Formats: sequence, structure tokens, C-alpha cells
Amino acid sequence: MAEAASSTIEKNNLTLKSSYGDEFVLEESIAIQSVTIKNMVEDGCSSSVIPLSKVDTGTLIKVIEYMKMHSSTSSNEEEIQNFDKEFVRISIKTILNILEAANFLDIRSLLDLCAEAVANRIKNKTPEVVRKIFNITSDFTPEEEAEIRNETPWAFEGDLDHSLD
Amino acid sequence: MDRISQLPDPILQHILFFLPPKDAAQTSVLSKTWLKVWNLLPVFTFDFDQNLSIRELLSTEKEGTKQADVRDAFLRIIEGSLINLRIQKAIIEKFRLSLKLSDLKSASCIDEWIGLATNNCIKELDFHVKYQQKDWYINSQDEKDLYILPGTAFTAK
Repeated sequence: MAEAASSTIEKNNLTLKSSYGDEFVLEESIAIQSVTIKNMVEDGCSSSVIPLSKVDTGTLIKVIEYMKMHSSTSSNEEEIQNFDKEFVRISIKTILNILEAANFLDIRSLLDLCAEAVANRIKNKTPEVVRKIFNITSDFTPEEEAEIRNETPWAFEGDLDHSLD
Repeated sequence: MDRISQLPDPILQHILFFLPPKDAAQTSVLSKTWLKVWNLLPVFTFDFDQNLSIRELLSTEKEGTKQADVRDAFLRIIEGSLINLRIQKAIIEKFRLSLKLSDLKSASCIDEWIGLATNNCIKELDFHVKYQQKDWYINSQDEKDLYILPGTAFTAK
């Protein structure tokens, strides 16, 4: 790595490039919350643009917003908690995109946040309602489905929420 | 295919981690993708018997080892075995815990272990705790005993 005099004055920056070709400049110290990016930096890719071919622009903007908040030294724990709560109040499709990006970028806390947000939209719902919320089409025959239900009868007992909220 | 079912299996498994056992098991019926993810969950058996383990530990430890040290070693064995349940969901074929309580520290450990275990689908629960002169015995067929277990324990078959 080049030890240019300017690097001691300016903060090290990285350029992240989305799958649409949009580029975002971000401080290295913020970007390396992603273990994937951290490994790239350590492998000597830090001077070049980091292409994230699996992350679209909209998703990358959200991921950067999250990383900036979580590396900010001026925000306290309560502010971060509130931020996280608001962060996942978005469409299912967007959460799933961020979830996949967090997995690829290896940002554990973001992966957990989004996985839990998805789980919260499954919790206390019947399978029929979960299918509607996530647009899942069952590829089971009614006989196959009955057989699976019989294997774990305790899972399908009791009252469940039939609403789509 | 819908967006969520396109996600890699490990991500779908990670979503299950944040669900109570009943909701997690229900996802098996959503589609073949989800059934596969459900069936890929690891299957564990836990069998912790203080008397047996302490006898084993004492036979391998140096002479003069204190009983209390051995008991701590036993608690660490349990903690180490359950570590996987902190990062992933599992099907627990059998969860057996037999130990004597001598202090409140181990009592709070038990609450935590039971919480960890019951976040998963337990097929058989065998739970035996002795405290001073009292004998508390609980198993999954007999839920009206002294120790209050989390309700999820009884979603087991």
C-alpha cells in the first residue's frame, strides 16, 4: 500500500460501485463493517473501485445509510435502536434485497436486523397468509401438504392471525 | 419464483432462527423450497448428567481437585455444547438435563439454557433438577410441576 503523505491528512476513502454502475465514495473505516469489503481492502484492492455486482443502487444506498449510522460516534445506543426500528419499516421487497446484500457483504448485524424483520412478518400468521404476504405459490398437492401437516401436528394447532397486517 | 424463495438456503434458515418453534415448523408447508430448508436444520441430542460427568471428570483430573471446580467444569461443558443454539435453529431429538443446584448462579444458567433449548423444536424433554432437600422433576409429559418452564417447551411432540 502506498504511504502517500496526503493519506495521513485525508481519510482513506473507498469507492463502491453498484450493479447499475453508480459509484459511492465512503470512508474506509465505515465500509469495512462489511467483512467482504474488509477482506478486499486487506488483499490490496483498496486503491481501486470495489464493484458490487450483486447489489443494486437503491439497496446500496440503504446499506451505506446503515453503515454510516452504525459507525457514527456521535449517536448513542438509543438513537441506533430507534434508527434500526425505522430502517426496517420498508417494503418486504426492499428488506429482502438488503438481506441478500448484507449476506453477500457479510455485515452480521444488518443480516440479523433484516432476518428478524422478515421473521416478524411471518410470526403468528397462518401459512396461507404468509404465502400471500410473500407471494409464495405452493407447489404441493393437497395430499402432500396434508402429509407434511400430519408430521408436525403441534405446529398447526390453535388460533392464528388470518389478517394480512 | 417469488423473491423470498430465491434467497440462498442459509439466509432462509437464518430467518427461521428468529421465529418461535411453532412458526418455524409451519414454514415447512409453504412450498418445496421451505420444506427443504426446514429439513436441513441440524438435529441435536443433548444429554447432561451431572453425576455421570462429575465421576468422569474426577477420574481424569489430578488428585486434590475440588468438587466445586469439577462442577464448574461440568457447567462449562453444557455451555459449550449449547453454543450452536445461539447462532442457529435446530431440531432437538432429546434434551436431558440432570443436575444439583447449589447456588443461584447455576439457577440463572438453567433458565438461560432452557430458553435457548425451547427456542427450538424439542421432541423429548427430560429435566431433573435437585435443589437442597427438594426434588423437582419435570418432563414433557408432566407439565404441572414446580419449576415453571417457558410455554414453548410444550410445543414439543
